[in-house]
Amino acid sequence: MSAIHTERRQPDARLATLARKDILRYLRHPAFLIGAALTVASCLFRPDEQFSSALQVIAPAAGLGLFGMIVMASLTRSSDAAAAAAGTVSTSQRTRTLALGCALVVPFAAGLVWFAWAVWAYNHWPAAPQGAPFGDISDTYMYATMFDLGVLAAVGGPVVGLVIGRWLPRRGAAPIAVVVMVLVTIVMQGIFEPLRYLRLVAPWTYFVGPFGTDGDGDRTLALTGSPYWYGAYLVALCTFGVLFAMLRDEEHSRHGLKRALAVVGLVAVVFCTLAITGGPQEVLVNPLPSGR
Amino acid sequence: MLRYAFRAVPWWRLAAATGLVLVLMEVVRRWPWTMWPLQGCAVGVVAAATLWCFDEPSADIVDVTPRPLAWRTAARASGVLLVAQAWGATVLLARSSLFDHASDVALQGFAALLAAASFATWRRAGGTAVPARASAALVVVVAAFCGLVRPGFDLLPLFPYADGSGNAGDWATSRVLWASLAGVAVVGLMTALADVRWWRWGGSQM
Repeated sequence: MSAIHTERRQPDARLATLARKDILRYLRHPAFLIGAALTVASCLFRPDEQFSSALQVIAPAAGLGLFGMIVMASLTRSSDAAAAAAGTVSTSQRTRTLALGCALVVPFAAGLVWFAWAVWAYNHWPAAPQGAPFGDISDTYMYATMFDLGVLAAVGGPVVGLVIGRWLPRRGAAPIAVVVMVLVTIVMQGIFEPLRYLRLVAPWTYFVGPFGTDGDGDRTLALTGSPYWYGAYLVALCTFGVLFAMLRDEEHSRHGLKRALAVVGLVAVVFCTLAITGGPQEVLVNPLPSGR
Repeated sequence: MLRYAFRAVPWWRLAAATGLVLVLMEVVRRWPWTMWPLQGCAVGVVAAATLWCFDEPSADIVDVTPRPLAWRTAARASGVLLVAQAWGATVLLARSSLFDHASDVALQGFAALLAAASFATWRRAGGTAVPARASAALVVVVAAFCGLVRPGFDLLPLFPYADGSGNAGDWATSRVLWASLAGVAVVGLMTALADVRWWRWGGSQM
């Protein structure tokens, strides 16, 4: 009885040990330290007058999210290299992937620290009336956008890195993916009018900003969609990413994982649909001119 | 030398990187106001591609062969030449959309290329087999960050935005920064090559 109990506990203990090591490796990775330092540096300046810290979400998204892609791809590669060097290892690739997934706690915590600063800055330097929030746009709405585009982006980037590390373990794949991610993000951030309604399919996009109107190129607009459902969609995407990375392990049965992936994928589609169809369904225009 | 370059330079990765640079700058050419941050990303990719040219995964074997590092560096520079040509061509094609700053944008790419070549050669001279392993991805993501977020752009305008109007960064200061980087890189490259005793190039081939 006790032998069975010990056997059952062993994989958990291995996972916990590996997770602790991966968390430390993530914390010590130069790319994480540089990205975190750049994010901190961006907080040293006074935020934008019209949007306060709400427009500064790009800093953690790039500093923790994009850098996180590189960190996680690198950690995955080195984890594989260590396993290969050890020869036959008792820890499966799936457990190692899960341990790397546990290391996501590092960018999440860093994102939360940034979020705490952003909320403080938002209240310390309130946005000007010609910026956001305005009209039906509440403070809670603004906090939700900051959480989605700051904290969840800080986790989402490393998840993409984990998927790249598992499925495209080629040199150069991660930096090229970073550039592609930047390209997709700029296209889908809401500046192109035909893409505005469906922009919430993308893993990062603005909800408010100086998108401009005819005659006032910097007029503040609130775009369509619900930041609350968008946050749920991003969480589903992150879960999907981790499961998809775990699917790479061909040594174990993948039936359960495939079923879980299908369920999470379906949930993500539902949340994405709710994000697109929820919230304001027309672009809201701040009645005050930008004055720029 | 050509045969060595053909086998040693990661041509497929270079082709992917130069193709990406072409795509990025073409997007900037079409939508310069909205897609300008990609210009910074393109400079990062140029630097990363240059770093990849100097990687020597088989350094343990190659470093003890009669060919000196300077000879191998010169051979691998053929890859750098491809990157430089691609960068020059893309800037030339996009010059009408670069707000009269085509020469500044070109300078950014060439300075990044020189800095990357200098760093990689210095690391190779110091015994590091694969200098790009840790640095290529980092340089791309740092360039992407600087292009997107532009932290402290009034003090350190690495990638001024579009025509530089308003709070978009000062092109003149940026020019000085990149020219200084290029100067330092050239000195660094010369020093690194001197460290491997390039003057014994001919003598060591016997």
